[in-house]
Amino acid sequence: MPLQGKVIGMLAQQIVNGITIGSIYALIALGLTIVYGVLKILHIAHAGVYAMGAYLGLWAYRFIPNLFLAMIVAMALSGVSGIVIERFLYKSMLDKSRIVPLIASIGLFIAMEEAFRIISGPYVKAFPVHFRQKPWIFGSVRISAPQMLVFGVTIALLVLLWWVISKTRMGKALRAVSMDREMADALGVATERIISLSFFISSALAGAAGVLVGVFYNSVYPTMGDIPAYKALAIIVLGGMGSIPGTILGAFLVGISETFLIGFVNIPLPRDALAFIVMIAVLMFRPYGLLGKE
Amino acid sequence: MTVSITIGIYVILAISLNIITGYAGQISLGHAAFFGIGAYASGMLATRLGAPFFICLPFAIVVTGIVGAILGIPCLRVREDFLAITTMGINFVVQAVFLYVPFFGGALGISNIPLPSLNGVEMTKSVYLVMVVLFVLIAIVIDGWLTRSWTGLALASIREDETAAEMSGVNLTRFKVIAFVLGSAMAGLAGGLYAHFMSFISAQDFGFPESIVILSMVVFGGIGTLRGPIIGAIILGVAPEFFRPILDYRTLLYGAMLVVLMRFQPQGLLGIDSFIIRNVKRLWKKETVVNEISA
Amino acid sequence: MRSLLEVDSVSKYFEGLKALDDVSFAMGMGEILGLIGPNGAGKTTLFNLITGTYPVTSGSIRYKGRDLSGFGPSKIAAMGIGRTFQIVRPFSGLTVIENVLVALGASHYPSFFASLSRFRTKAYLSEASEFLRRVGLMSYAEQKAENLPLGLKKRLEIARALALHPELVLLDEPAGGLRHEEMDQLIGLIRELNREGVAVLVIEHNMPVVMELCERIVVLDHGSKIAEGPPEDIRENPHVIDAYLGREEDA
Repeated sequence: MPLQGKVIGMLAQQIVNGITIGSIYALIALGLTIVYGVLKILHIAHAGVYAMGAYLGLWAYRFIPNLFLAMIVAMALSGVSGIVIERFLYKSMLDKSRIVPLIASIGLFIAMEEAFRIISGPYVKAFPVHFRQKPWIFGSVRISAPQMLVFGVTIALLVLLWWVISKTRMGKALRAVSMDREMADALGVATERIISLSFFISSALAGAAGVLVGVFYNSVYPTMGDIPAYKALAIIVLGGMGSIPGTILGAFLVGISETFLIGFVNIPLPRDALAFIVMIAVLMFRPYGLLGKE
Repeated sequence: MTVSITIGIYVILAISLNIITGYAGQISLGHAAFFGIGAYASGMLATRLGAPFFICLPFAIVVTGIVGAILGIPCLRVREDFLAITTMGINFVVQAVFLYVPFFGGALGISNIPLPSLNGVEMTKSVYLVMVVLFVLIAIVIDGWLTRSWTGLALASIREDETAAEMSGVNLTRFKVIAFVLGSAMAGLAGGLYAHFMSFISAQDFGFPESIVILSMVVFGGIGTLRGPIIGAIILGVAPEFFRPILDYRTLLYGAMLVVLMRFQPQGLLGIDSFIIRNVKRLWKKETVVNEISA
Repeated sequence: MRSLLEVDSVSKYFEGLKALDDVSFAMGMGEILGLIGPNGAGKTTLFNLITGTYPVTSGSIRYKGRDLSGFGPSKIAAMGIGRTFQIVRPFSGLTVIENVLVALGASHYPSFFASLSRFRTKAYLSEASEFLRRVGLMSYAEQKAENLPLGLKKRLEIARALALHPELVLLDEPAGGLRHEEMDQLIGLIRELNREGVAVLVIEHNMPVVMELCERIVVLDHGSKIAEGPPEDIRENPHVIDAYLGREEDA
């Protein structure tokens, strides 16, 4: 194969890989941005819900041989736990200084990770799923079955999310609450229910991401939420906090950058600090993030 | 002994973070970065250039203060929520620099940092403890002066309402930088003390979890007060020893403690208007009333 | 009479949205000037430009002959322009007297060494108490600002602004939310300030207050000045009536 063809092929493969990672980041970061949009809280425990989703998916898959159904169960349970967190924790902290819910969230995240470790053991658990689907091959680009799963689920969830937010009344109410909670209240929006709904959606998305990651990397372990925790934060900042399209854009930007960094470049920088470096770089030109406002 | 020295270092760290986050109201989730910069600055000057301890320590303080001012500048323009994440990012980047740039020793860190010595005689641990206590007292004095000065009042006004502070003649940039420089320089001091005591430091010691430990000490005791960080550092510094028997559940309890504390007593154990403080005040009033009656 | 404040052909655009368009007027020393207009006319924006919170897009604002462009809000405050807010912004966690002390320190803050000195001295405390006495808040001195009812918080803001030893005070809807007696007290206070030579620029929707208090009135609508003159003239001015009635029709 001629050189250009090979390089293009490699490039394309890296892009595919980057989009895979970006999809997962998007699912995680979206939840974070929705919660921030509605409550202006940095919900660090979100990463704990993500990890919990992976465990729940693994557990559900034992009884339900269908991966999609198991994922739905995991998503539903994650969503409910999100509502629990909102009702029992954040609700009482809305009038306090910002640092209060932040530390509570960090504490909750720490406790959750430890709970996973104590209950399920510190070792990496396997999440073996047999894919009947053969990988698609276009030239030198190979898309594996797990990757197809990630793409498929992400697209489905994003479309669903888009439909809910822009086409339903609930979605409109959600946007109203994000923009101005007091105004929304005054206009008769059931703010409390919308807030709980936002948490449900966010946590369900995180749960889905957890299951996808568990399956994709065939591993579930207590501290799997560590890296997504701060990466998601960097992503929502660089995308524009509270902006859903911005977050999606930022997630793919980081996913692709990371993949390229590993694949092509040889800078001695840790892959994980990259998200923050990209964030700082973006903030220099656009202080409110790529698509942030005000 | 080791525990006491460690607690002393944590007290200084907690007081320093309290200046930035408690007094000036700037959320910093990356304070361990300054701790690390101080430790590396002092440790490297000692091991690479063989400088004596009493040169290394001021060097660490100055270097960290300067870096604090530089890193403070992006933090200034950034809104409150961004600030938390930006400081977090700074922590990660600084830690990455220590870990990956060979100049800083990489994954091996810096080792063989000597204890301070006079005329070839090495300082004993007990003397080191006395020195640390001395520095703790100095930190307390500086902090006390700060709260009583116009600078401290300006910081408090920034914490309460930046816009109103500006309208009252307080230059936000100037005073935020002052808070950052002071807080980071003091953390650099703690870092230097840490490096020469531990003799070995590596990037692992100065990451985000460490920043959270320091922050939780401040918050546990009572953010924005002087007594708060001191008590928080002491209690949370000593606690791990008491929880040894249930080592496995320690971290879980720690996380749960933070949640419960923020839920029910966010001002900290000895914070302004906390449960303990209010009851102490009530008892005090009862006592004085009783004394006046019986007098 | 040299002008204390000159607003000279000032325009302000926010991302293409016109907030103010070629507004000009002047204030003399010790004058009470009213700034009125329907909601969204640009009154608070004008305040923000004077205090240096935002830069002007074009035109200039001069205070005592000095162009204010390029100066930050803290510098302008220190120059002697005080300001209150439409929605009160006290330093909630600080005591009432500490609120005033913050502003009292304006002369110290620019100097590193002056800022090192203690602020709770007898001299400063009594100076601050004096401002509290003038607004009638002496008995609340050691209370936390957040515990005060709205009317008293408004008075605290005025005391705080006075501690800057201002020659010009910008009041943003000081009468909002006040009860009748409080309103009278407010008018009395403003008159008293005025007698001491402090100029007052006041945004207010409460027409009776404006008419009673102000020597002159400037009317803004949709970012432009549509009228200027003594209260009697403004009351009769057809453009002004149109602007307010027009708004009511839109609503």
